[in-house]
Amino acid sequence: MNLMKYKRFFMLVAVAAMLVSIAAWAVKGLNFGIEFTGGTSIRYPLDQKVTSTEVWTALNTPEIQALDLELSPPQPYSYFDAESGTQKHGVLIQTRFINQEEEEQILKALGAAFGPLAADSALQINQVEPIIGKEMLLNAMYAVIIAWVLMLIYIAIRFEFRSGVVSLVALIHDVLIIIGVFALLGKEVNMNFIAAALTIIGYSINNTIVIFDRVRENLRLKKRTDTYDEVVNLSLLQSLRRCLNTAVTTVLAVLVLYLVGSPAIRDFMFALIIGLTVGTYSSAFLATPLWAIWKTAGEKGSTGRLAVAKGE
Amino acid sequence: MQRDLRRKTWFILILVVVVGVYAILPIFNPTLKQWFFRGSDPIRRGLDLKGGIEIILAPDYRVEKRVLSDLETYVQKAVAGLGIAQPAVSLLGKANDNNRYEGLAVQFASAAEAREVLAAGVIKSNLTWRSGIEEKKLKLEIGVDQGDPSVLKVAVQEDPDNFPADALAQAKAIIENRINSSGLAETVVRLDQTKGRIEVQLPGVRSQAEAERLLKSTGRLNFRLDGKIVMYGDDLEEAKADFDPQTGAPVINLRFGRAGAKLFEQITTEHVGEILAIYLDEEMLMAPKIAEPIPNGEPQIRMGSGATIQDAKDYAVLMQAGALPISLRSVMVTQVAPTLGTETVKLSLFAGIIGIILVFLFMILAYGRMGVVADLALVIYTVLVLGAIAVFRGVLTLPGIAGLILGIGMAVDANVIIFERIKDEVRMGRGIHSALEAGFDRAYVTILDANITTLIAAVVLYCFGSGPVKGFAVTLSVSILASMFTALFVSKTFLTIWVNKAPNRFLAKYMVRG
Repeated sequence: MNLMKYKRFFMLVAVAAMLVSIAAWAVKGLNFGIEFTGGTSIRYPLDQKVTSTEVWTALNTPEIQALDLELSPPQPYSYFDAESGTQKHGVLIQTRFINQEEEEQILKALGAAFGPLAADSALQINQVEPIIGKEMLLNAMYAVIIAWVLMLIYIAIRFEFRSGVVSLVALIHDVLIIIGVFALLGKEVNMNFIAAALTIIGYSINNTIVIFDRVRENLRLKKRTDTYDEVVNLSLLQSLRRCLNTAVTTVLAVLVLYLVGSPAIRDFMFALIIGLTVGTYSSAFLATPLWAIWKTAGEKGSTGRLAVAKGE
Repeated sequence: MQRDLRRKTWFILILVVVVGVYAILPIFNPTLKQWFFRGSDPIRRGLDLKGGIEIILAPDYRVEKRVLSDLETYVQKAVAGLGIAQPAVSLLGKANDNNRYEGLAVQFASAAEAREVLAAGVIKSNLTWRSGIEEKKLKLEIGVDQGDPSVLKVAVQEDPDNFPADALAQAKAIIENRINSSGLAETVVRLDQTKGRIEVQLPGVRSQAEAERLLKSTGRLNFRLDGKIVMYGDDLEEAKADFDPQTGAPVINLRFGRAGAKLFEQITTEHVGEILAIYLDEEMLMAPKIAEPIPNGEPQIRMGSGATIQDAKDYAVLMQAGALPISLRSVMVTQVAPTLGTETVKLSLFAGIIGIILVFLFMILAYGRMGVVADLALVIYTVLVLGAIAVFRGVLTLPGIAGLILGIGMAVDANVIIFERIKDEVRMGRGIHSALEAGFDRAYVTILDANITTLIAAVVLYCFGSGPVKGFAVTLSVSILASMFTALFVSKTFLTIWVNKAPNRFLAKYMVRG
């Protein structure tokens, strides 16, 4: 089987996916959580399902209006609690960074409208100063960039510079797509999203290296007449089963967590499922063919031309 | 060879038993928990999984209203010098927030006037404000309001140099004392020196009000004569409510350290008969009159008529608590209900176990007997990772769980790489023994390169990331190391033993499947 026959198609798919993601990102923007924008988010548990308007009305008291809280529309949510076997409800309320008295006012108004909170209720409150939020996002981004540069150096030493660069391209592809999906679905980008993105980066680079390791080994056995496309094709075929098996097992574990796990981690697991799939694809069908094309073009010798001729 | 294998098997067995007894058994056995971890969980859960409150405190460099009103006069004067009509000045920032404001908003008659004032540079960017013993270096930042060009925004902050360099470290120590005296378990008070922040974790605490009670106050105690600060409470060693032995009325006994006692003596000597008001930040607690000079640094405050011993106690607590060298404000609060945390853990654990069982089944389906070996290695991997987290007193958070999942993926992956290699070698016509050796040798380099690359990322994330990212990096690093060990050492040992026992059956199984 000659996978490299479809290399253009593989790369086209990857590039198209990246472009769609960038477009979604540009058009719809990202729904940053308060961890990065600053503000307050309150997850208030409720006994029954409510509508956004009901909560809005409950919070529309003169005292709360006077506080100028910059309320965004309340978002009701429900989830199935496997332990008690019941459906649970709640509402997410987001405001600016508030102080303790303001928080108490909100909780009081909600309690008045929907009944007081039980002692063991699942209330969750997050508050972040805008400056801290920006700093956390920047910190995470710096960390990722430094990690990328160091990985590039390591790969350049152990393999070659080209491998490092195309590995990075694959990582950028993965991160872009996960950003695109989140932009498209309007899902919240928060600290858990960052953790998911980091996991995907770790997984994808691991995958890419395993394939490049095969390529490196096959290059040593390479005959003069073999083209890089042929070497890459062989390596891909050899490592495909391993890639698939590993992807299946990992996605399996994550999928169960997504389906059965707590609602707090659902978006997180969703990001992982997308990312693991995309990461497997980019390692095999973006980084590796890209490397072959670059390598062939780089040598410009008879092997290079032969490669193109043979590939088509 | 045979003896070597036996030794390796014993080593693995002992390692697993030791780690298991240390890190896993205590989860189920309270006695062991008490022995090894003084009663706390072997694997501590982060606040997101346990419930509680995390507060990050930062120095409050904003300035008080009384400073800003002097500043307003300064601005008015400066503007008058340019021959511009008196602007309307208001405070920037929310009222009721530590009684401090971000600065001034100066409203001019027109945008042109605002621009003129800005261009003339009559409002300096560095000022020193003095009142009583207070001397504050202020930093001013002036800019045109984006919404209304006729308004100049003057952001005012205190220069951090106003405070001693170790003010935050002192504040941290004081807060630590307060929280420790509450008897709450597993609290964390951490100082981030580079960012200048104090991180406080209060597991099990249910509301901000409760947290505030524990922290008591983040303000700074000060003494004022005629509205001017003459002394700070930093040197207050003790404030205690008591009954006056003669009258039986409630009193508060204070005790200052040496420097404070000296200053207090000087103030009380010079100002007998005057009111020495006691403030916590900008809030007045009480206003006792100086009855006589107090030389020993141990003043007694007699409460007003009608005051109870409880009132005296409340004030004493506030005064003692107020002895922070610097005012703090909370810049980040994360509050997770304890039930929510437990819910998350239970559900995730349940799902995690199902997930692992599925992975086990898949491995057996795909690799037969080698799959069983991989599963065994996976169990050992899990024990080792949990053990390492327990040994290093790591904290498991939600992102940390992600690190673990990735780790399981990598542990499986390492085994898959090895098995595929062995199959390749068998297909190329090698005997099972040499195929095993060659397969491991080849896989060795692959696994090393792949894992080191990921490890680099994990280490960088640990060094540069904050909070949750760090948690992720720790579990990921531990997982990578454990997965390399289990794949390259444990799997190899077990596989070799198995192959030695029944080489032909093993090979047959393979050829059929491969």
